[in-house]
Amino acid sequence: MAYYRSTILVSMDPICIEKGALQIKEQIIEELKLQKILDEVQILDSPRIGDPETEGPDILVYPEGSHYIALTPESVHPLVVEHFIKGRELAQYSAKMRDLMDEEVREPKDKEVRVILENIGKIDPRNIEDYIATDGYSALAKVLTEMTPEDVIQMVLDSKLRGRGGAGFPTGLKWKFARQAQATPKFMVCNADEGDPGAFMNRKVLEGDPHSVIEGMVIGAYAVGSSQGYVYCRAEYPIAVSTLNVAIKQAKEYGLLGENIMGSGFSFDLEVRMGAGAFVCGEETALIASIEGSRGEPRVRPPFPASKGLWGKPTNINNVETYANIPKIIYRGLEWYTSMGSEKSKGTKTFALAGNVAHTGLIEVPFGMTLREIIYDIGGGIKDGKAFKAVQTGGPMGGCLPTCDLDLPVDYETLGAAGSIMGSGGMIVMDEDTCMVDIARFFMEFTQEESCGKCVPCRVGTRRILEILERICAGGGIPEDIPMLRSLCEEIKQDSLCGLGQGAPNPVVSTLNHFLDEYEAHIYEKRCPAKVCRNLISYHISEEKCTGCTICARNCPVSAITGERKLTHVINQDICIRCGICHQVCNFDAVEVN
Amino acid sequence: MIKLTVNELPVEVELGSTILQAVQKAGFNVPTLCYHPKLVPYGACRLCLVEVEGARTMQPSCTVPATEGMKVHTDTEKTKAARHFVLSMLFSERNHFCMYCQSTDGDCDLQQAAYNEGMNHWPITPAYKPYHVDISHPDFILDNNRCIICRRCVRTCSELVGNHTLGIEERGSANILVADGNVPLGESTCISCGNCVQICPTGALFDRRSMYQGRETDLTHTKSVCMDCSIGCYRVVKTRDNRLVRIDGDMDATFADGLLCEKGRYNPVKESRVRVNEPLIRRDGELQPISWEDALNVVSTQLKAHDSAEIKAYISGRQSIENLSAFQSFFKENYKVGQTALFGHDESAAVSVELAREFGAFESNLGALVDADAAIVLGADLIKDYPVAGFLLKRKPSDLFNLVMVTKEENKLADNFSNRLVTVGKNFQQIVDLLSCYKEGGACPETDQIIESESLKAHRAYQLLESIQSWYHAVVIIGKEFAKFENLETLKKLIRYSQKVGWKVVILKGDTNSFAASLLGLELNPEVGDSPVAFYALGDGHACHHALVGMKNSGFKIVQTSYMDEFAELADVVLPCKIWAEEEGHYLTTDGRIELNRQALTAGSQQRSVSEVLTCLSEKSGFSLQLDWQAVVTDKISSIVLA
Repeated sequence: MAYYRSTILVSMDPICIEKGALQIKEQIIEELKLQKILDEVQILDSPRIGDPETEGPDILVYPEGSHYIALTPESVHPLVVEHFIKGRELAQYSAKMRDLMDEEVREPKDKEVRVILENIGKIDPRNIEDYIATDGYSALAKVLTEMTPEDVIQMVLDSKLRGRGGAGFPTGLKWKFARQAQATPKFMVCNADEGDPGAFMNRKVLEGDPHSVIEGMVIGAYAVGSSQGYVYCRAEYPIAVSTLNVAIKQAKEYGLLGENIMGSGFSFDLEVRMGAGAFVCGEETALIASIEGSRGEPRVRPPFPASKGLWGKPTNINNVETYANIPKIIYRGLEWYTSMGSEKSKGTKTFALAGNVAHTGLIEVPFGMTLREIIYDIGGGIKDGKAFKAVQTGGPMGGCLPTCDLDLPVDYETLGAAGSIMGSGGMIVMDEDTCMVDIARFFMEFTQEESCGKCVPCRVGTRRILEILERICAGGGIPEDIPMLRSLCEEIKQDSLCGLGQGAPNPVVSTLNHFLDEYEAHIYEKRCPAKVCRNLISYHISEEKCTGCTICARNCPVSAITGERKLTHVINQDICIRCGICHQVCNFDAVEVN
Repeated sequence: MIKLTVNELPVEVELGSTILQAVQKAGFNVPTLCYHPKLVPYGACRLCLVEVEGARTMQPSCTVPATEGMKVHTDTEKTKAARHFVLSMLFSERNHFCMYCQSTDGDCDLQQAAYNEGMNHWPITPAYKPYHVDISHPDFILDNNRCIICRRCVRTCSELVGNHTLGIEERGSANILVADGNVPLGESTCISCGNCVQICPTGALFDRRSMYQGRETDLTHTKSVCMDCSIGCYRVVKTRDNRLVRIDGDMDATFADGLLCEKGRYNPVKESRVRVNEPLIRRDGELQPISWEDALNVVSTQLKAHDSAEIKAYISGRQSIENLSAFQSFFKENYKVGQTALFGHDESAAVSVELAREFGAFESNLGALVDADAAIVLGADLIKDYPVAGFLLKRKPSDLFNLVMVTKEENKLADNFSNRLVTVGKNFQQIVDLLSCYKEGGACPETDQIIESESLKAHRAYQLLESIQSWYHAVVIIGKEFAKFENLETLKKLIRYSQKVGWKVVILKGDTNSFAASLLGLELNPEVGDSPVAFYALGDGHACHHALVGMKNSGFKIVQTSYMDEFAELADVVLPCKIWAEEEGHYLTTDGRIELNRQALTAGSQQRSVSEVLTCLSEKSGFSLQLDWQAVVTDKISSIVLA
């Protein structure tokens, strides 16, 4: 692997390409050649970097972390000269006010341990040699030459690796069941249908380090005795799909996939199948139905996929991150792996940190780290110095945990006991300005839209809960709503067919448990303590603070504000639609929310 | 056997049984909605939830297998709460105002389940948006407002019928039942078999003609057999006050899962021809009423007035074995007329009887279609002529079934399968040679030529031919276009080969009772010519143009028919006949089952069956009819069709 002093990531968002990103890339290469530094700077394609509408085409330069936006053909020459020859940032094209560390590749914080994200941003995902240079496929070689399938399963069992898709089922046990199944052929499936809002851990792995997943799958296939695998990836991840396809092609060319892998006589083929954007297809039986070409709806288990899965044959399904763990465990050994994590949950877990936290983005931590450490030490605390209110883990099926749960260690059991779930790794932090009733309503809106509609509790139950929550938020709540919500939640949890329905009530149950006072304020006092629910708030202009600058009146979309210049303005409550624009535009904080 | 307890009561069930089966065996009852014994358990409605000790959540008893030592509870607070919840949800979802629904008071599974749970109000106020009622279909109506999205209809349409018309669109609470991705039912690919209507547990899909004409308990149910083709599906004839209200499939039957096709379900209720209510005689060119006594005297006189060898007598294949046997006995054995024959061109039944002379019992029963992994259909239109047999093939998984088909006209059966070799034409021999060549393990040198000359889709054809070694349950289905005496040698060769390689053979035998007629010695596919006196026992059948041509040139024409049709218009004497539902009689199906059609309606005082008329006539002539058909028919069946 060559050493580069800098890496340029070129945004290949479709809009950027439309705006000429490909030509810019060509020009940069030409210019670097001209300056004779092409061997010092690596150029990689990247998914979206900045907002392509306003900032594209744009590039990101590492390790400096410079983000250059709105590039034109004329800009390339001065940029290369200034940045790479003279070592100065070219202010003219620099992005302003942007936290470059937010989403894609950020330097790890002290407490982070990067195992899964280790290679991301460091190797070229479209070049298999980069992966091999980081000891890639050594684990596969070890498996094929030194280990029996039983050895592999035993090792995965001993590593206590648990499914990263959310349920945390021991991976070794899953493989064992698939191995024991009598019928043939057997299938390996990788679940890359990441659908939690705001979560993109799996996308990053597929885009940045696809071979780790492929290697994990080949090892798994050897262990369970499968010769055909599928990666089920959502169609909304076009770069992940194309990167994967390139990686599969290269792995086949290198004899690491396909017929007679590494001359061992073991064969395994892999294909990518695309999902059409249904959240429920992340559920393993719905995913199977979707690969088979049916409507993506879960089936009742048992039979479990390990005995009857894809086309009725034994099928092993694991998440992207689970497979990515496998090569590391095999190559670096049990001692290393089990040294990380808590007693029952070993290794590390990636999270997509989002919400009102100072530094959002992908992180990776060992199991057992507390929520406080994650939010404050890694996430940099709450944005704008506000107070923490709750953190929601595990995507739309997770619960909201309040301040008193901040010192809980993050692992499957603890989060489950606290009324939330590990999920695939979404983590949304909420500050004091968040209305918990509104949050419950938001998640319920998501699940009821994403419910497949097969079973009654999920199809109708989530709809009924949503209607009640909408009513409460709109000021029409009645005291009976709380017991009704509780009983609906309990039944939906108990009676639903798949994990989506069984988990759907979690945001409601957890907010009812921890933030009942907010529900009561909405219902009894018709008041939204966080001042979020429009029907329950009103805007007033403070006589002391108003300077009569007229900015609020000019910006009001419904002309509800009247007042003479340099005199106190007044909001007509009958006309006001509580859009909050006056509150935002006032330069003197004169608009108050009640 | 597996031992478990249901409500503390020990019970033993076979391995592979579901909890529901165990619960029922233990004598308890769990309500169900989406479950139907003919469909693959689905577990969607959640009404059948039970508590299993040790399970994290409630378990759907219809899908979860019973396991050793399982402790099941069906009547705890939790199960009651779950049922109550599920029903409350369903009633809150759409318009379930029972008083305006045509399926109520025992006809609706949803309503009945609520009654059984002691529900007397809606715990949650319904909040629904109204849907349009789809009235575009001529036979039934789809009211999505009554739908509970249990998908029994969708599963019936795909799992049982293999038509894949119905489906669910949208997600979550927006789920809606649609045909062909949302077109009106009347414009969809629906084949009007009506099985979805029968299986609907609520009033979402209901029959146009019988709606609001009485609940199931108001109707008289007569279990019977269908006679619209020779497959012999089981049906229940539903009548009220001596009026035919509706026909349903007999879901208790195992044969073809109790399915019916459009012909069997709707043709009899759609009957619009005018009944013949009294005997008529042509006087001064007009048909005028006459008494039975006089009419029979005229017929008797005419029959005696001519040389019996010149007389011709025809009967419809829809007539029962009793009538056929009386007919044959009267005309052939006693009267020795020149020709006794069945209407129509289909001689497949006679060919089958002929082939059995050489091969013995060579035919399989229709169960072979259920187990088949490949079908070689030669000269039979399963979609038009034998729809239910078509369902048995259509519902096979598209990728895992192999179809070879040679027919005179294109038909849609081929559309269901990707592994296929389908050609339009009559070149049966060539295709059979091609198959045997591949079966023997060699590539056939003429393959390219045949594929080209028959304009076959080459890649599909090769794919199919190469898979021929892995056909373990192939069945050869032969229809009227191929089962002809002119093809006898080819047929013999094919049967010999099929027996060698283990392919099963089924010959579909034309009209309802053609097989029985053939065994009784009636002519099939007769040559029709003029005769001085001709007797046409048409009954409730439809006029056959072939026979009409001969009739026009004949002398005295006697027609016994149920309806005023072209035959009656030409006749000199018209004798009113009972229809299928008005008399009891036996039918011999294509695969050798003798089935009883029971009487469901009472005929008018003047309408008589064929055998009643012939008995009267024979008394007048001093004959005695040989009516012991059982000895003739039953004995022969086992020498043709394998049990």
